[in-house]
Amino acid sequence: MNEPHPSLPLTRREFIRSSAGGIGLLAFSGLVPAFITRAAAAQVPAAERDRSILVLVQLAGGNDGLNTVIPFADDRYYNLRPKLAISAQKVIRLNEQTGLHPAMGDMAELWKSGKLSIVQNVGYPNPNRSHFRSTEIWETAVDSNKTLSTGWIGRYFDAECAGQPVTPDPDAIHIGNEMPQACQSQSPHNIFGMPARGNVGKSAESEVNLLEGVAETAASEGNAGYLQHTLMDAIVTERRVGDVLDKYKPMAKYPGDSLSQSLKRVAGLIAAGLGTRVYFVKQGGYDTHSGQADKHARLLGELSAALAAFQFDLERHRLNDQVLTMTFSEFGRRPSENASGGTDHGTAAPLFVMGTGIQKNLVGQAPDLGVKKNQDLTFSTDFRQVYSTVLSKWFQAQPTAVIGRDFKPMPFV
Amino acid sequence: MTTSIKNLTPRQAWQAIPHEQWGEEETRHLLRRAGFAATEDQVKRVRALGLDASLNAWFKTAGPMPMPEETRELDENAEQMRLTIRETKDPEMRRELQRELRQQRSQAYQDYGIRWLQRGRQPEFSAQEKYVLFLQNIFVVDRQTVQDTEILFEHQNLLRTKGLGTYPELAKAVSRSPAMIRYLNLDRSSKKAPNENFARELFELFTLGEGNYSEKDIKEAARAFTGYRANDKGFYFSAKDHDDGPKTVFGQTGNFGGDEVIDLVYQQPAAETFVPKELVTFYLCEQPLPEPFVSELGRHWRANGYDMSLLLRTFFSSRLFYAPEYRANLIKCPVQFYVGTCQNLDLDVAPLPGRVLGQLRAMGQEFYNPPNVRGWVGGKHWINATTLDARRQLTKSLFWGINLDKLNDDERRDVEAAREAGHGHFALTKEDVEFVFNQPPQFGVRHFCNKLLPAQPSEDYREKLEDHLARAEGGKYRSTREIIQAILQSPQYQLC
Repeated sequence: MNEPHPSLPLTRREFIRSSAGGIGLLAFSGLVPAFITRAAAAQVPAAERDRSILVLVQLAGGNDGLNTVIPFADDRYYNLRPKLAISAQKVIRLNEQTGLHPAMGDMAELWKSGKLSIVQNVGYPNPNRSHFRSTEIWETAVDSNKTLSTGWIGRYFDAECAGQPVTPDPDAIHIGNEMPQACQSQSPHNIFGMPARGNVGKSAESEVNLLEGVAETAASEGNAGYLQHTLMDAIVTERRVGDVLDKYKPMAKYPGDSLSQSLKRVAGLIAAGLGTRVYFVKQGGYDTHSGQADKHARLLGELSAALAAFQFDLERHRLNDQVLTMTFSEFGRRPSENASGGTDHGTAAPLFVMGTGIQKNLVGQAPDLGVKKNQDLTFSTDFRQVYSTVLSKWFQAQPTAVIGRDFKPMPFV
Repeated sequence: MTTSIKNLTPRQAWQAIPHEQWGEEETRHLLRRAGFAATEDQVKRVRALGLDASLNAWFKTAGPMPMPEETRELDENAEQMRLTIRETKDPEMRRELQRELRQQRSQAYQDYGIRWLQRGRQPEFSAQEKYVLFLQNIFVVDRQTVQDTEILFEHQNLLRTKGLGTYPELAKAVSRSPAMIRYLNLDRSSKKAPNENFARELFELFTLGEGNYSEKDIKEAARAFTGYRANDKGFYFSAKDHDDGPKTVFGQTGNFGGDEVIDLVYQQPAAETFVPKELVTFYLCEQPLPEPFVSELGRHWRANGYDMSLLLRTFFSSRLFYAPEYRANLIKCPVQFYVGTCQNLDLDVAPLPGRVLGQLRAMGQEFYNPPNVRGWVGGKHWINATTLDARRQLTKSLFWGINLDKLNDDERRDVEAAREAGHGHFALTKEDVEFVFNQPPQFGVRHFCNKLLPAQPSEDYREKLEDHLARAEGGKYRSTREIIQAILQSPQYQLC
């Protein structure tokens, strides 16, 4: 690098060939496309061993909080839910007031061993009851009367990764065919997605090389630039991830549903030492407008078994100290059941945080059930307070830059 | 040379493009945006017909799609099957019958998916079917919730046949569509317990957009739509479930029914720009147009009674639509990626639901099954590492022949029937591409770039392909196949 005018390499391969360790040119990262700097970094041994990783589990459709974390000692719950209430005999009791849905035995065990925390009655002011909009509010972490195009995870990457060496691995990996809005950011980050099942990366090397060659010639701005960037990142990542998943030997038995299979993959990637900080998995089906009882029991059963298998796998791999898992859902459901054996869109609901770093296993105020028919719950914890806690206490990051204002950290982690 | 939006006033923007500016490139642009691909045949046809006549042919009226055979059979048998299931006492037998019904539904759905793609593949229907896809992405219903294929089919046919009339009438028809009644729980909404799902989406996603109504408007409107029901014969109104008391919606009070609520919606200022904005996002560009341009189109639309045919013809003949900043930069949706590629390469839609519908799902656009009530967001959201990989896999499958021995009876029958009908060209074979083998590499590369790409690629792009073709590692067929794949997988081809 002593030449006065180093000429920049044109392709990723040329670059890797030309620079032994690769790291030298990172100084020019402002001039070089991201995929080149990233590929260069790929030649560097993994930097950090003790990472804090966040796994987000989205319960899509709006989870019925009242039938998940159940106030079984409160008569008002039974009055609101003549058909759907879970009888006090069936509830898995956590304390004198609060219990879990009977399908959640595995999560009850996690609770007892101090690895699960319940943040009660989480929501936000002026709640929106549209799936899309409320999901967007949770993912972009804004006031409900504002819109932002960036998500809270994306802004965390914007704030944290600026000026830091680029890791070779994706900043975030999502499982499922949609990139979560939480990952949208100002500056581009490497976000990789893959299915819950099936192969990752399956092309012959000669074909991939030709594709890289032509893709490098695309315009670097607008949609063409976006396509180019995404494709290049994907090519680099799929080579690595495909290899990792092929070799992974889980140390827990995961059920066959797609949430469990997704978490199995996440465990494999974490075990392989990827530098990825955030994983995103999803379980759908919570929009239980009708015939809720059976559907909800199945969903909670899957959730419970999947989380337990994941946590067990991490523990067996001695990775549990590095991982915090958190659920969220766009809204809870209305306290009053509807006439179709279901519940309509509501507001606040509990969320779960799982990990060995759990400090306190019941935080926040339980919901006040003193509501009229078809009236909604009033949240007691703003979801951004939960995010702020994760950012400051788990990621050691400055939450205000990401969330936009100060929230008091909570004692769950 | 067409005029940039920077040099157009909102009024000029929606005026018809001057005849002399509508050249071959503009024709290609129109075909790619309104339809799925600009093939040489279609360019010639549209040039010969002229802009107005072409738009009239696509957007004046649309006839129904014939009901696919398997859907019709299911429709005829389903009622009887449901009855039999109800009367069957033995739980094991019952489960068996239910499984049978589910399987028939699933087969009919898959068959319908293939027939629809085949219809869209026919150039004369491409613009109409793409427009149906546009409407399906507003009046969203999904297969998972609706389940019955014949009801899904009727919903789509309703959008097809009424979609070129006025939008308020379309919205009223949709409120009576059995698929919608089921999807947004109107059938469970009664005077005693009004369900707000439909009323909310009517305002938010079908007509006005977020922020143009209050929670109270929704609650009241929900009461107006109580009593909407559907059975095997279609829509019916259940007077006993309807709340005929006074409601106050958008500040007006009356004993409104559903249709009257929709009429009230179309007195709201936001109604005139909602659909034009959706049109812009779907057909023109991801970024919203500056407000004055949308308002101008909206006013024109309202002045013409919210007529969709007129809106589409105005849009696709406008100076703004042909402005240079809107060329070759819209990301193709997966349906367009697949159907357009078939058109470009003169391939037929293979009647193999497992393969074809599976590919669409992997690319993020499962037939008739959007992720949520908002539909597919589109644009950049089509593209992530996963969906790009699925696009890459699809381009490989274009070269796979069909091994009849590996198909089930239904598939084999469909493949054979398609071949007999002269629609059996399912894969690019050596014979299809060998005409480039004895030509210089520049010839083959130029040929496929011109055929496939929405804009001329850079010199560098061509040279990489030419080098690859010239090296001919693994033979000429293989290297030709690889350059076609690379073009189809390149960022440039994802755009239209």
